[in-house]
Amino acid sequence: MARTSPATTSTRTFPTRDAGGGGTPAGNKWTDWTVLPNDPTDGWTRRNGVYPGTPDAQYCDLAEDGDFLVVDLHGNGSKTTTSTELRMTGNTKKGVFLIRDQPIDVWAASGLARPTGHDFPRTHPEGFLIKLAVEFDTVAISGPASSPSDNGYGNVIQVDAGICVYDADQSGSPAIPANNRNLAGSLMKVTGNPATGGSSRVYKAGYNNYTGVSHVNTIWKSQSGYETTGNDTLVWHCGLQLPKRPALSNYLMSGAISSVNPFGDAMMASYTQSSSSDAFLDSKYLHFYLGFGAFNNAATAGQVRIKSIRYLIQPLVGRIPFVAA
Amino acid sequence: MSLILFETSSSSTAESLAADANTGSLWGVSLGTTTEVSQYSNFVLLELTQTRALSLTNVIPEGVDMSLMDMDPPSFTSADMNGKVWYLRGMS
Repeated sequence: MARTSPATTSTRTFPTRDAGGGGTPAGNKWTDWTVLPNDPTDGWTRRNGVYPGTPDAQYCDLAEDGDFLVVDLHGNGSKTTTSTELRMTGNTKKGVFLIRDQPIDVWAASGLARPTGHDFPRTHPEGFLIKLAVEFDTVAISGPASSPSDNGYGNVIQVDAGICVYDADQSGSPAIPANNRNLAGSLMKVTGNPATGGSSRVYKAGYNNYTGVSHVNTIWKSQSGYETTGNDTLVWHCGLQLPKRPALSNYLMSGAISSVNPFGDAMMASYTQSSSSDAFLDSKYLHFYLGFGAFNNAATAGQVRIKSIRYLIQPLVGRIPFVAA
Repeated sequence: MSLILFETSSSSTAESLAADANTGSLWGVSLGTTTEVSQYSNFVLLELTQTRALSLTNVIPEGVDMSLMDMDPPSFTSADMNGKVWYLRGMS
């Protein structure tokens, strides 16, 4: 029996794209970034790392300075009288945490109805890609504001951006997370003057979790010759499937990218988070956070300048259809 | 036990680093008698206590990169299939 195909000249119309993001069935199929405030007092809770005997204000100032969030770590500077450890790697959680007051609700953030039996605060990585991106000033990390060349221009000072995980509702005032309850992308100053140095080891980017840390070299836009191609943003990705075997786990990736070179290389490290130590998906409260400290105990002082903080929760339709809230 | 993976600029530098670690001390940090050392190409892997791992991170010299530190590496049972493959391949 003969089959006929529609003439190629038949007209098709494409639906007009809706303005704005949303990811709801009535809106675009993508979600736009949501910008978080640079004011450390606007919806953020500051928590100081485990640093016995030292009041927080003595070693770290956080303030919005013009368009930037500026973090000044004094370390062994004039405001402290004892040796300072800012280490944020391994089981040592010092430095300063800036944690969003409210937990992430992926369904509400996407304008979607929460399916029956999938109660808050449970997340579903199969259905949502979560990103957190921190764009820095031209010089991301250097020495302290009082003397930028100090501590080797801020050597081993580190910035983390990711999520803190809690078993209980924090009621708008999240505590510093337990030892195995933070997962983050990480940017570290390594060596040289970031404003002039051409080395590939001025900065490193990757991840920093309780269970491990991994960084790869990344060229920054503050370095000579890389003003338009160097990276300027730390980004943390979480998502994909949730495999059950051999252990409940999820896939995370984080590192450095360029906001002005959108198809340039991403310098990333990946990590499979498993239930053995830090599973965060079953009835956990997830809060975005930034961490300011150091890779090891050698750092004494530094400054971090952040231009913007933004997150994205992108719904990915899975085994059940999405329903608008 | 923890794992640290160091990357050096050359295989000879890695061999030298591994030889030093096998003496029981690296960059002034005692590695005791339980630390395991393996080296291939310009990479050196140490399996050691968490305290020693953290001590080493304080004194990594210029020219050596710490590519990875894992404070809670998965067991063979809980490792994914890629992990199992690489573990068994190393035993052949």
